[in-house]
Amino acid sequence: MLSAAETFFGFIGRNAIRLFKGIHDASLLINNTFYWAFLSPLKGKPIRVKATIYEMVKVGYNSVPIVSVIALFVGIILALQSAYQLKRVGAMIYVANLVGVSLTRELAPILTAIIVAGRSGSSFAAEIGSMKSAEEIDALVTMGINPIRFLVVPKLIAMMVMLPALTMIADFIGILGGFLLSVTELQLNPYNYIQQTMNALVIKDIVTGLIKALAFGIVITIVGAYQGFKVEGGAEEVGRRTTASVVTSIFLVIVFDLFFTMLFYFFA
Amino acid sequence: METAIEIKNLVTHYGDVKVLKDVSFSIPKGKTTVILGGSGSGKSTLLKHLIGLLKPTTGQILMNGGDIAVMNEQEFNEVRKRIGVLFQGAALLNSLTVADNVALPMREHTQLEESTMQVMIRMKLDLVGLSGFENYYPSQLSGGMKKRAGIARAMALDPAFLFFDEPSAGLDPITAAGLDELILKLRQAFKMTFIVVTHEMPSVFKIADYVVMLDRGDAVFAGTLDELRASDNERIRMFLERRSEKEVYSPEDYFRIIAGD
Amino acid sequence: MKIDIVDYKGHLIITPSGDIDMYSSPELRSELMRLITKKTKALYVDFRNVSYIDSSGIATFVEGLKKMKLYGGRLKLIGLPEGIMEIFRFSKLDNIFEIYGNIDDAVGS
Repeated sequence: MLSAAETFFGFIGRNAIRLFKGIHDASLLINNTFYWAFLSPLKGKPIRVKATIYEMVKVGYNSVPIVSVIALFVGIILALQSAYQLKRVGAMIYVANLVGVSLTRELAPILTAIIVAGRSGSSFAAEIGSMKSAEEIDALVTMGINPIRFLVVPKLIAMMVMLPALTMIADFIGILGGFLLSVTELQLNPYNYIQQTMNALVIKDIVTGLIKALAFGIVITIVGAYQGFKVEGGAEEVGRRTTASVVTSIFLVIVFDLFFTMLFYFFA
Repeated sequence: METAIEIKNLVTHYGDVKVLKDVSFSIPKGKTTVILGGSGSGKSTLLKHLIGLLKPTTGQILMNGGDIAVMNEQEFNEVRKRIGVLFQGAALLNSLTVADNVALPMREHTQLEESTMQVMIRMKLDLVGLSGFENYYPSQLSGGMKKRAGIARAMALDPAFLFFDEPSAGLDPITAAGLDELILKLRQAFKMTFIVVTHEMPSVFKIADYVVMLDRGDAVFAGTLDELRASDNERIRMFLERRSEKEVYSPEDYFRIIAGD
Repeated sequence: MKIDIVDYKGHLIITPSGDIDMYSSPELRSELMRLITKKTKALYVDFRNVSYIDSSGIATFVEGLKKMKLYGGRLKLIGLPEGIMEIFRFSKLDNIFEIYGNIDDAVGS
């Protein structure tokens, strides 16, 4: 029988090895993805344009309705919650500042990322995972077609373009939501509200939000692809990996958000 | 007999388990070689080595004038253009039509005009009896048709080697026999080397020119069909006569097993 | 593969030599199409120096023949070595293409 100490250290050791293997595999995937996305096109192996456009439609265009609705609601909620506090100090016009800044810097990117992680990150994992279990990935390899170039790169490019684009839409619609509530329920002057928003927002707010969105897009793609390629068994594991991809990408999106927010706070 | 592929002292592990134990044999050129073996014999692992999906622990696989066991990706990509593989479930890409599946290797590796490729696709599909199914998606095809489409795709670049992983798996006997006949027909029409991994004896007797038998990670036999029939190796006889393994324990062993020590 | 175009008593003969495969077919195709767009009445392809032809080569000739039939042109194949002839036979195309032993038979027909 193993002693308690042996069991304990064995547990730590096994998990450490698994963790390091995970990190190693993920960094290999990141390396390869960036190589096939940005370096190999310079060497005459272009990216697949049609597949990229197709992914853009799936990731971006098809997400517009849900992102818009959620952004609209969040804009309204933000305006209401700000008004609740600002009413006491009689500074209702600052609702415009709070809505505009918190949306562009923080809420629009992160909400969009979470929606897209749930919609597209999971579908990346499911698609690649079921291809893995049906030997389609092996088939690509034996045909001399790199699966990362073929499958992951179009998704990466689509995410890098569409997540910032969706974030911009969320910025706009969210602010619109706040505006609609303010000019009706809070009875603020529409012209003043717009003026206040314009004054409150600087380009930097919007740009930092978009930089975050770009990073989140990369995170979601890599996590989805990583979980997909990890599938070894059948349908059951595809499902498990799909769930894992959503949980992991939302977790990592928030970790990266914290990192970027600190970075912008201290250095910008 | 000219040799197409030579396997020398191949040893491979899955984790700590030795799957192939020092396997050596050669595959003749321009013939159909069947790699025969039961479950867990290592035949699928061996196939994965031959098509470059796995690298052995030690040993050599000489093919196309080089040792594919030690080639880098770039060198092996050249070899890949000369091999076609039919996977067990056909492994067609479900998001593409049958025609686009067949065109996949052409689009990746050649500069052919789209119109030339369309003619080639129709030729390949006609060869496997799937004329008119160009615009079908794999999900609209039956199991046997998927495998035929898989063969058309495997033959897209006119390979020198065509590998089949359990071609009759999951097919009813009539469809499976049809597929065997297709393999025979292709073998007569093209000067390719066919390598078929299977455990289906009727299919072996129909299509094989040369047989390699694997058993528990060893190559126990390599020779012609007649030599296989005449063999008096106990494991081969069991395989041919479809006898099950008799496990005999001594009473002491049996007690040890059930007592759980 | 190398392609020469010879004028034999006013008849254009395309003479490829070497392997007609996936990598050389596009070149052959562009030569063929160049002559076909000029609506050349009769084209001759001399196979004497061809060592191998694969499905892309066959497909190229199928394309050429299809285009020529539209304007009533004729594509004649000459001097096929036995190995190449066999490939045409397997592809069930030996009765589709006009195949002749030598240039004089082809011109005369």
